[in-house]
Amino acid sequence: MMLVEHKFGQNDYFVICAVLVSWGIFFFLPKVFSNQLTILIFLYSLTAAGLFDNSFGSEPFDFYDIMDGPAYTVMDIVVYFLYPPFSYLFLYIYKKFQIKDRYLVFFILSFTAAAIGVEWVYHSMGVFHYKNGNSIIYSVCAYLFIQSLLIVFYRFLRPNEQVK
Amino acid sequence: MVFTFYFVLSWMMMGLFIFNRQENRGSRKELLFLVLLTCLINTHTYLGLFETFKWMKTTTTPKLYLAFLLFRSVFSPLFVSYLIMYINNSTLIKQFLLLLLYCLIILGIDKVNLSSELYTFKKWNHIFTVIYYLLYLFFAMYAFNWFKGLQEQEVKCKDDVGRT
Repeated sequence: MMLVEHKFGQNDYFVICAVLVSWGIFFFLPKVFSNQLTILIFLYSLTAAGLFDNSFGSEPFDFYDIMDGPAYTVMDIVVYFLYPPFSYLFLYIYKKFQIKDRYLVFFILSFTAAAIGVEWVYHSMGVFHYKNGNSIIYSVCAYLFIQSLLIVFYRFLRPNEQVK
Repeated sequence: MVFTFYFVLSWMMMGLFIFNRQENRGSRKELLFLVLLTCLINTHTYLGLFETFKWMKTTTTPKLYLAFLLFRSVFSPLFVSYLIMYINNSTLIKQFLLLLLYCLIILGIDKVNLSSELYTFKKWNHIFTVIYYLLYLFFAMYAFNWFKGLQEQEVKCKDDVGRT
């Protein structure tokens, strides 16, 4: 497996910086979840991203490429490290501010808007390349679905936590 | 045909997970951990390992590809997770028999996938598939036992999520 597809460029430096910043934010955030739940949050974000990338990002759909091109490189794997801190922040704010159900839709919409903003920056820096008619606007559907499911998972796990 | 085959199998595994789950086999968190981990591993292995090293070639026909997605990211993870829950609560002889049955099912599934042209072997054969799935099972079992041993030290915080 190659480190990069072409040459180590702007997008690679940007991803490394973004990973450092996002994990820096995670380390400074108070740890309000148990070890098990934190691992589940990380695993959920990695699995969701992996599912989308390896399903819609590969042939026959091939809607986007990550980093330099379609080949699976080490830097593609580094990109996955961007997702867990974002998921943690999402649930951290949900728990910290005790978002009530009546505001939940607005909360998810706000986070989706933020995620789209971040994705636009990544796209501008050459991390994501849209293909075959795909564009950033379709990512709205993915973020709405993934974030809603994360809330469902979190609430699915909470009652059990009080029982066990 | 093969799409329906995997749709039924995936539906069946989901049904078993949701309706035939026994509390003493594992908590919700442990179950979710298993499913997410097995899904993450299997999803990345086919594209990141088998395709990258040109060991096998996945179909590019959309209808077959959808069946492949069901097999790779739904059926296989749920099947392996369900088996791990069983193996963990069985006697040594039963564990051995379950492993034998697992190998036979994997061999059968691999033959179905090949004959349906979900993928084609390049530098690969059925024995390698069985070895991969055994390693996959053992790794997931090890990770599952590690996860079970993690201490639950949640920071005490009033949890009002889900309140209207």
